[in-house]
Parts: sequence; C-alpha cells; structure tokens
Amino acid sequence: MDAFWIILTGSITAIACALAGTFLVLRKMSMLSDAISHAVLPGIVSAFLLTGSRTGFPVLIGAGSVGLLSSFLIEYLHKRGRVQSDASIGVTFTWLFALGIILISTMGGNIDIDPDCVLYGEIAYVPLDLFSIGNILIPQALISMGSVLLLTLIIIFIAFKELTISTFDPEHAQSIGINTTMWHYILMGCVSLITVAAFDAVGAIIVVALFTAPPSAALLLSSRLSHVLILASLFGVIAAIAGYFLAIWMNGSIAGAMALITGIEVLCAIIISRVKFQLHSLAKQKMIEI
Amino acid sequence: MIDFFFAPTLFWVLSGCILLSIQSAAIGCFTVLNKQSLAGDAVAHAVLPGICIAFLLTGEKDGLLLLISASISGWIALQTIQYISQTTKIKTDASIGIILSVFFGIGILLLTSIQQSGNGNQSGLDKYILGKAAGMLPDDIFLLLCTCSIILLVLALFRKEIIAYIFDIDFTKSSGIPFRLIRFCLLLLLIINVVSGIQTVGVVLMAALIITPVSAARFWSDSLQKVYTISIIIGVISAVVGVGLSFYVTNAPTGATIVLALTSLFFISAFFAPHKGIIARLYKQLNHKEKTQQENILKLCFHSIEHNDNLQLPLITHSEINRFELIMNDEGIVQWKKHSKSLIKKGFLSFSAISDTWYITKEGIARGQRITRLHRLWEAYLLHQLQFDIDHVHEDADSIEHILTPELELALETILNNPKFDPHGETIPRKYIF
Repeated sequence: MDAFWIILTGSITAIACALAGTFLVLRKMSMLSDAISHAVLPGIVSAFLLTGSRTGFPVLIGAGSVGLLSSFLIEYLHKRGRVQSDASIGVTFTWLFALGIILISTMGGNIDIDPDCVLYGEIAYVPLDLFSIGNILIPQALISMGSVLLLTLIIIFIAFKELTISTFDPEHAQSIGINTTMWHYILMGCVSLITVAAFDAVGAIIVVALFTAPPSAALLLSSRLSHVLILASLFGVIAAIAGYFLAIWMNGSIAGAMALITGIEVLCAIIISRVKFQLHSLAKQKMIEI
Repeated sequence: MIDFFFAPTLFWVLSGCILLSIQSAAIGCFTVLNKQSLAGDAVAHAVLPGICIAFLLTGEKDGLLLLISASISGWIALQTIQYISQTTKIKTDASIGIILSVFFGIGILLLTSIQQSGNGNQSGLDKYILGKAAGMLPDDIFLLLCTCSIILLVLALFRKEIIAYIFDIDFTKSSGIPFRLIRFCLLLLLIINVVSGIQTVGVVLMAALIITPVSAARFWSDSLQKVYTISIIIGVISAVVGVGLSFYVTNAPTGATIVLALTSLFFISAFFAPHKGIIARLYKQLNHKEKTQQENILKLCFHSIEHNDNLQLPLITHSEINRFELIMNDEGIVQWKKHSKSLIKKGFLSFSAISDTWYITKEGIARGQRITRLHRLWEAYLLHQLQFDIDHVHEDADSIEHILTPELELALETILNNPKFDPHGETIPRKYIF
C-alpha cells in the first residue's frame, strides 16, 4: 500500500509540474520555477512556526503567496532597478532561501524540518502522515497536491485560449484585450502553489526537474500544444513509476531517482528527434531525386 | 571582542570567508556581465555527482581527487547545457534548469544510496549541500588562498581579452584573440571558484556570492574597473558581517548569514545609490515631470499675450487661471496652486496680495517664449526635413520642447535657415523680445 501511495503522489506531483512547466518552458521562464521553489522556504518555515503543521491549506496559501511575491520582486528589480533578468532571479531566490535556512537553524528545537531534505524532499515519508476520509486513510500530501492539480487543470481548461495566445504572441494577445500581466501572475501563482504542495515530497531543486525536463522532452517530439501537455504529463508519470523502482533498487532517494529518469527522457527525446530529422531529410532528398 | 580575535577557529573561518568572497565577486563580475549568472548556479548544483562518485571510488570525503572529480562533473554539466541549447529546440533557460536539477538529482540519489549503505566514513559528505563554514581548517584556507590568487591573477593578466570577449564577440573573433581559449578560461575559473567554495556555503548559496556583489556594484558605477573594485569590497564587508552575525546568533549557519548581509547591501544599493538607484531615478522622473508642467504653464502665459501689440507684462486673474486649468486638465495637468508657488520661488511669477492677482515676470515670459519657439522650430523641422504630415507634428514637439538644448536650437535654426513661420502659420518668436 505504501508503494501505491508514494507512486500516486509522485505521479500527481509530476503531472501538475508538467502542465504548468510546459507554459513556463514555452515562455522561456524555466528558471523562475527554480527561483520560486527556493523562495517559498521562508514561507513554509514561518507557516510551520505559526500553525505547527507543514501541510494543509493555511500553509499552502501562506507559503504560496511568498512564492508569488518573489516573482513580483524579480519583475520589479528587473523593470525598476534595471537589474539583468538572470541576475535579479539569482539575487532574489538566494536571499529568501538563506532567510529560510537561518529560520530553520535558529529555531532548532521547535522544528522538525531537516535542512538537507529541504533541497530534495522525502517522498518515502508521505504514507506516514495519513488523513482519514470516511473509512479510507489518504496521505495528507496527496490531498493538498491533488487539489492543486485540480486547480491547475481547471485554469488550463477555462483559459486555454488566453494562456496559449499570451504565451506565443503577447502583442497580439494585448491587442485583442487579453490581460497578459494578469495571466503571467496567475501562472506564477500556480507554480508557487505546486512548489509548496510538492515541497515535502520532492524538495526545492528536484521539483525544477519535473517543471522543465518532461515539457522539454515533449516539445521535442510534438508541436501541438494539447499533445505536448498530454505527453509531458505522461513523461512525468513514467518518471514517478520508474524513479520509485530505481530508488528501491539503489536504496536511495526516490526524488533523486525521478530527476534522473526525467534526464534520461530528455536524452531519449533528443535522440528520437535527431533520428526523425535525419529520416525526414533523407525522404526529402529521395523526393527531389524522383 | 577580545575572544573574537583570539578564537583560532573563528580566525580561520573569517579569513576563509573573506578569501571566498573576494574570488567569487571577482569572477562573478565577468560571469554576470556575460549574462551567465545562472550558469554559476548550475555548476554549483552539478558538482554533487562528481563528489559522490569520487567518494565511492576512494572512500575519502576530502582531498584533491574529490575536487578534481567535482570540477569534471561541473564541466560536463556546462558543456551539456551548451550542447542542448545550441543543437536542439530547447532554449538556454530550460536546458540550464534541466541540467541543474537532473545532475543534482543524480547526486542526491548517489548520496542517499551511500548513506544507506552504512559506510561509517560518509557522515561528513552532506556538508557539500548546505555548507559548513564553521568547520574550516588551515588546509581549507590554504586551498582558498591558492584558488583566490589564481583567479585574481588570471583575470588581471587577460583583462583586455576577457573584456573584449564579453562586450564584443565579433570584434574578438576578427582581431585574432583566441576567444575559445578565453571562454574556456572563464568557465574554468568559475568552476574552480564554485568547487573550492562549495563546502563552505553549500550548493544553493554559492550562486549568491557570484551574482549579488556585482549586481549591487552596478548601481554605483558604469565603469568596469569601479564595478570590479566595488563588488570585491561589498563581498569582503558582507563576509565580515556575516561571520560576525553567525558568531553571535546561536546556530545560524555562516553561509546563510553572509548571503543575508550581501543581499542587505544589494537592497541598500538598489534603492539608495545616487544616480542609478531606484529612489534617485524616481526623484529624477518626478523632477522632470514638474519642470515640464511648469514650462507648459509659462508657455500658455506667453500664448495669451503674443498677439498683443504692446507686449505689456500681463497679469493673471482668477478667470484666466480657470482657463489655464481647463486647458491643462485636457493635458492631464492640474495643480495651479502647487506650481504657482514653485514658479514664484523661481522668479517666473510674482503675486500681489492687494489685488489678488499673479504677474508674470520678464523671466517668465522669456521662458515661455523660448519653449514656444522650440516647439515651433521642431514642428518646422519635422515637416520640412523629415517629411512628417502636418497633423502629426504637434504631439512630438510637445514632448521635445522641454529637452532641446541651446546648441540643438542653434543647429535647428541653421538647418532651417532661420524660419519665420511654423507649419501652422504661427510666427516663430525671435529671441529676447524684452
């Protein structure tokens, strides 16, 4: 049963990350997911100090808004302070992360967050924290991750057109009356919520692999957005399942193994797209000869 | 204070952190200007598998082999990022994200696997993740002393070539500077810096030591030499403050306190630096806006008298103020009261309390006339020299009239042969009527 819960939580996390990540990768904002995932740490720690729990909706909202704030700050430093965009990402997230680390270390006894686990999570502990609905015991992490995934899905279904147009052609989107800034921050809000919900399971850095690698692999194989979204989610699920068994076999971190599998997926996608390209140009040459 | 200097470990920690801050700020200066800030972050994460593999092979958790293996791992990561972003559809930002997190994931998988295997010697290996400055030994200081001098020396020797490579790659290629070698050098220095510093501050905060000092220094100057010096100074100050802070606050890790000090300096620079800081820039904008609005008032004053033959110094009554406000409202400007006070202070207006009216002084009329003159000259220039449509020239002239300098005014006159009329048939007023 534990294995089932772990794989299910991992898959749902990976799907949510893949969906939001596709838009991030297409908007060339992948590194914002890295920034936000580090920046939510002080939010999570202070929410923990206030409520005494690492999961649940107050933490989700509190820490999620810290993530959203960090994306505001990055934008502000870039626009008003004229800091290079990559540098403003670097300055913002390291600062907030340092703050979180100091909070964890100085509050020492009151907190059961392991500073190392902050970076790579501990998905194996997910089945330990159960929550009962009726007669069924469901892991707490699964409930919060599931609701965040539901929210992401709803947003993508309702606003598929707006998100797509403001991703591919912001000027056109503005000219037909779509508020691109608003959609940018809605996306950032989604990313923040996903990162917070996934924090216990996969931590601040491995989550970046789930945000960037499956969508990149899917984008290499398909050029239709709906197909890319489905393909990316599929890659995420494969990573969750294969990662679990690899980690059991190596007796190591499941999140780390999931990241390794996503890396292999990108590698395969690069090779396949290469081969496809070669075949395509061969076929073209033959057509010309005929 | 006395035990601060006499505690030997603290002395080592302090000197180690200062050396690390100096070398990171120095190499960071060029990495950030080359728009590769996040490459430093990527290297910091990507060295982890190298460290683990070296440990698996040798069973040691310190030593040169570990550092070399870490460097190789970082080097492979950088090359892979470059390969992916250059040969596939995946953009640079996504490839940095993928490589950073996947390499880190591999490292974590190996690390946890090593820890589970129960090798008694492994317990110190996780210092590479969050860093342990407090455990610095004289050996570590010696290593940092070497790397710091290597980095500073190479940067000093190849200064010209590196600057050329960063700011003008085409020039570098055409003038025969071996730009591949320069690129190799810069990346190698970056990796050396990261690998030597990673056990002090850890993978995440290493990026701050590289990126933040130069980002702060750029608010103070535009010259590379000054930015370089200032960022090293900022690095040293925050190392001292950070180490002090971690000494006095129980349990605060040194790496994090250094980063906190560094970022505080960054925010102070970002907001309060003269000329380039956010507040200075806002103040400049407000000032310009105020000047524009006041000049518009004077321009309107001039318009109301320019068709009078006797050109008396006019007075402004309340009905005229109402009219101004109406016109100015149309342009989004109000606040006669605020501006009139400031104009009186500058000597463009005077106020008589007895008759409750404002007078425009000679200086005020002269200023209004000059603005009108620039406006009409510019309209004529747009129409005759740049072939603008006659109904498109007004808005453009409205904003440029506040910016044109006397030299440009002279140049416009010469180009246009001292024109008498503007495109709308209004006279272009001559200088100094009074």
